[in-house]
Amino acid sequence: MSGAGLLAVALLAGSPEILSATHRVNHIEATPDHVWVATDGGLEHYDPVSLERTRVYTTADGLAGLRLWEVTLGARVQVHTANSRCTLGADDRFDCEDAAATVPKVRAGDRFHGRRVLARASLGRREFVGTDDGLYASDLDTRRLTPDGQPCTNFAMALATHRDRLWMGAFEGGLCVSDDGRIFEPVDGPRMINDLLSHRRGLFVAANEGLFRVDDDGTVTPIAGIQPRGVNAVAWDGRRILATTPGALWGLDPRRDRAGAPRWMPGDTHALQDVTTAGDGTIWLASEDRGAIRIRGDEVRVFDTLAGLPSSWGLRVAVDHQGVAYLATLRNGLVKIDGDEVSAQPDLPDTWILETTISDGNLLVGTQGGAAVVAANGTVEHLRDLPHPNVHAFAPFRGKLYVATESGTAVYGGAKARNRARNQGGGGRPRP
Amino acid sequence: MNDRTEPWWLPVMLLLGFFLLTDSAHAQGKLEARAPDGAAVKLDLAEERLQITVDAQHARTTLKQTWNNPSSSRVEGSYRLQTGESSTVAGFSYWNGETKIVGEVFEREDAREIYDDVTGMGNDPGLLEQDAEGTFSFKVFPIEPGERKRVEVVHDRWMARAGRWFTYRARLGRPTAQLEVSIASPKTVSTITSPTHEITWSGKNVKVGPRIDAGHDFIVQIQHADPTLALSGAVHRNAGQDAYVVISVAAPTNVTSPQIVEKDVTLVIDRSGSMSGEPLRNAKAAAADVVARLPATDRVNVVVFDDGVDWLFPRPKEITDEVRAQVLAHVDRIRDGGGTDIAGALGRALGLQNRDRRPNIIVFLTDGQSDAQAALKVARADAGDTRVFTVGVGTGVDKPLLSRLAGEKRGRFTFVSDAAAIEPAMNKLYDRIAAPVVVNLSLDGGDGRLQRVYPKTLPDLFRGDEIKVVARVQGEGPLNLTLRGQRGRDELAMKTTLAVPTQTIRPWVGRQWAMTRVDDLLEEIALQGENDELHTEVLELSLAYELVGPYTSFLAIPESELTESASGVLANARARKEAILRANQDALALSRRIMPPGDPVLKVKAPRNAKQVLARFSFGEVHDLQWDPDAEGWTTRFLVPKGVRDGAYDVEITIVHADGRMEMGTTAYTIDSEAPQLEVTTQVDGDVVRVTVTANEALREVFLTDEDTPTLRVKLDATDDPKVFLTELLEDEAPVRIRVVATDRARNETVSTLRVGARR
Repeated sequence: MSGAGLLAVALLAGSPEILSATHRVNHIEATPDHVWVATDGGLEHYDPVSLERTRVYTTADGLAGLRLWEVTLGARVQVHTANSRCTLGADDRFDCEDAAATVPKVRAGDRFHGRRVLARASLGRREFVGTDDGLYASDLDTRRLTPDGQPCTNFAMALATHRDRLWMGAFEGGLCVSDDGRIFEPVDGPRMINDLLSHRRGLFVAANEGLFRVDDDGTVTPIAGIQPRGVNAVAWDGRRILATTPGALWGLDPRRDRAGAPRWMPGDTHALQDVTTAGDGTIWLASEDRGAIRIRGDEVRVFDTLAGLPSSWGLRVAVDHQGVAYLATLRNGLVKIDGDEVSAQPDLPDTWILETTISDGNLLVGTQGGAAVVAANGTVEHLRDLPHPNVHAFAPFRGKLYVATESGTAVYGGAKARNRARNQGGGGRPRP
Repeated sequence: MNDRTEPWWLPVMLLLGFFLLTDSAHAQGKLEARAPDGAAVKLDLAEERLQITVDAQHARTTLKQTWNNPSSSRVEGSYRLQTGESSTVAGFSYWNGETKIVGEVFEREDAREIYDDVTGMGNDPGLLEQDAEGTFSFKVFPIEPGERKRVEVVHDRWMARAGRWFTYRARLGRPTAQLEVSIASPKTVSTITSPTHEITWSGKNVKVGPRIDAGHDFIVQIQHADPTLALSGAVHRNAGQDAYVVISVAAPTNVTSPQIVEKDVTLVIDRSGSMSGEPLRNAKAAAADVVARLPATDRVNVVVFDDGVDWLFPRPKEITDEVRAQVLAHVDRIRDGGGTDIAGALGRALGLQNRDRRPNIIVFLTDGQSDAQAALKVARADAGDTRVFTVGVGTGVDKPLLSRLAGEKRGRFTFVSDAAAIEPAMNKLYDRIAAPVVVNLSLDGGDGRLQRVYPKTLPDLFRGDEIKVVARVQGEGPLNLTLRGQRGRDELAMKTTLAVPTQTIRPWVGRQWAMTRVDDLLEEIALQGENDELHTEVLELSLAYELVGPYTSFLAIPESELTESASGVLANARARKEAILRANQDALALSRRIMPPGDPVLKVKAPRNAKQVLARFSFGEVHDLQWDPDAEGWTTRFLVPKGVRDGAYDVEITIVHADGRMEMGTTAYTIDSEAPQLEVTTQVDGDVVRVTVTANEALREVFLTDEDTPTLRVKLDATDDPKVFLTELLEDEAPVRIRVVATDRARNETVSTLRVGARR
């Protein structure tokens, strides 16, 4: 992943701003004074008269998670996540405690103007309809109350800075882009995205549906010749775009829209997961069955359990400017490969690693228990107040660090913010 | 994983959307033989019997032949069967004395391996494979001196209508062959005649009398009971399953001019270097014929291309004597040039169309190959309703691309194998497209009951033409079909109601659907390249519906002649086939069933028009699945979080159908994060050290290395027991200490280190 701007550990000191998408409405409670909406991106409050969103509560406001199954109104407003119950206090912050796991009610087949209905609540003659595409008032026909301009997903698998814009690729919700890092617009293209690469020819998108190039005008061009379609990573070696499918490493002249003949099963792997390149032309691959694979000219070297690593199951690999590789293993930590020396990176939040990347000389590590920045001098800084412990992507953008989790994106280095509605995309304005 | 970039069967694959410009091919079977020294041996066809069952427009032929080896040599017979287009082999048997050996469909590689193994032992299995579209062959070995070898082949064919008539043809090996014809559905038949034999017909029975001509053919002409421009259909349904339907509609052969729609015709002619000489000369002549025949009510244009594109008019122009002369002169001046840019030419031709109510028709003639994805992108980007009729010349042409282009643009694809046939083929094509009878067709089965419909886009119906549609049918009760279209300036709606009982057995209807689906998948493979998913579906459909094609063959083998190794391959092949048959009854599939925590994809086979498909996971997630047009299923991916315990879990699936009906189901997955337990033993046997790894569960693979020099990698051999792997090392070269890494099917690993060898 490429990016601009310096990443200073100092910027991580404060609490992050949380970006979330509230399109998916799970539950609604409406009174003459308040409309409370539990969503996949936090708790929204709407003015029942103006129908404008006035507030959105996220983990920055004390919630245990962004995905809220239910909101209940008693003496206090309470919300329920999958396994916690949070109560809104007088300080306008939530206080959470563990609770029995709840499973959302399923309203299969109920539709409102073609959208799947997940919740309904009546207030006088008006009915609020919560769908998988936002909140509606039944008497206002197709006017959506949920603000536009939100991120396309709460579960981003990839982030990239490209042409001074921030691009976000969703686990299952497609692609979107932002000029300012706050207001996003969707981009047509694949649905299940795995990786993004900024290149002078365009943004390359690795997705379960294939490899694509997005031009500056938003045109999405599929790259032909890659079969099977599931592309899980993309990189640039200064000459070719490299992409991996589980069984092959593909090379592509960036001026063409067709991949050349692949290198099948390098290092005898059947399960490639990632590709990255070092400045000297060395290619590093991560695989689920052969750990890390180093390709240097004609030499292919496998670093796996047989070779002394703690695991052969690699998910991502990063390489620094000295050629040291870092393999993210599924559950055996981050493995440092320096020449023939293999060692473990200490002090990470968890041994289940999801992502590793190098940015401005720092090693960024996402795990299933949080994220950390490993500075060049070896100091490790854990990121605080993430909206979800599973961290899948990082991108520096305009002096801030964007950290994508499975449920919301944290922005470090921005103004510490309570998530007033206007802090999120769309400025709280209902759709005209 | 397969590193072939182009499937070997590409040149012989079946193609959708062919214009049947000739009558149905003659079915013919012939056995040729060679002695061990390679000399040809003529076998006598001692007996021949054809049993033909006609059901609607479908014919099933059982061909039984007895061949006599008059020579004094033991010979190998090579049987070649031509069944013609739109046909497939449905059964294959031969006799060893009085014992009938019945063929089964297996994966092609398995069948070939067993065949080679058994023939290597001098025994006599039979292997039937597809050589090309409508052409099959099999080998029979040995045929002893004086032996009478009996063979039986069953093949199916759809007989397209021309008006109300359709024709059955077979070429007979013996003029005196026994012929038996029966009509399974007499209500669909109005009249039966034969120009070759005396026949009488009553109900289901057709009595075939003496030959009345001097030829070798058997021809039966049947008049359909349904009139033209009326829907006909046949349904098959197994109890508890979705039904299958074949629907057809035929246009009259005589259409008066007021019923023919005025049109714009653009001829696109490839003048690339490969067309030089006879192909281009014939293409120009054919184009001139077409231009000469266009009525004055039409408009015309000509586009010529190689790696550049030229055009005569900016829009198709009204035909006057002057315009016609101008076009003919332009065609005559075409000279051969450079490469072949199909996308550029198609894009230009589509861009040059008038935008009014008249049908726009492009006739696109080429002999080349080009960037298929670029051409398809151009076709899909065109929002107009221009019809594209593609004509491919020669064996080098990209048939899948031209077929798909024609299919997506409501036209048809015509393949011309020989340049000499361009002119007659173009004339026949023009005979059809000169007279569009009903255009802009759409088929409605009511409430989205028709699923997986082929062709995906309905072409127009031309004079003397037929459209056949196959589909799966969901739901209960009669199926109300409406085919809507435009006839002249009038809207036309053809309606019929087909009964869909809980069970009705006409298996050929299901096979017609499966054949068409397989053809579509093969075309996709040819265009996009092969991948595991497409390969697997073609293979599974072929095995489930007993279709012989690129991935499958018929194998007939006496069990008594199986070698031990062939027996094992056959047992495995049968087990795999049974598993596939079982799996095909299951609507749900996870892409990886045994997994550690990770991100598999869940795919659910539900109708495209379902209102909603939901998956509820055991760890609390509820996912709305999305329709994936490429996978033809509903998909979502999910992460199994790290805290999920090992065990078998169900995913609860809810499908809300278009009619509001809810269907519930489950699919299972297994979380396995536990590493295998190993017992590693070494045994010195002479100068080798045998290393045996035994696990408490099935293993994916086992490696060992030198603990001191871990770059050495030795892969242990699998045994019949999936829990046991072994290898042998030369004692002199065996490492002092070895490290063994065993991986189970969920990719959990166990490492074991031990000292090796007694001498150590």
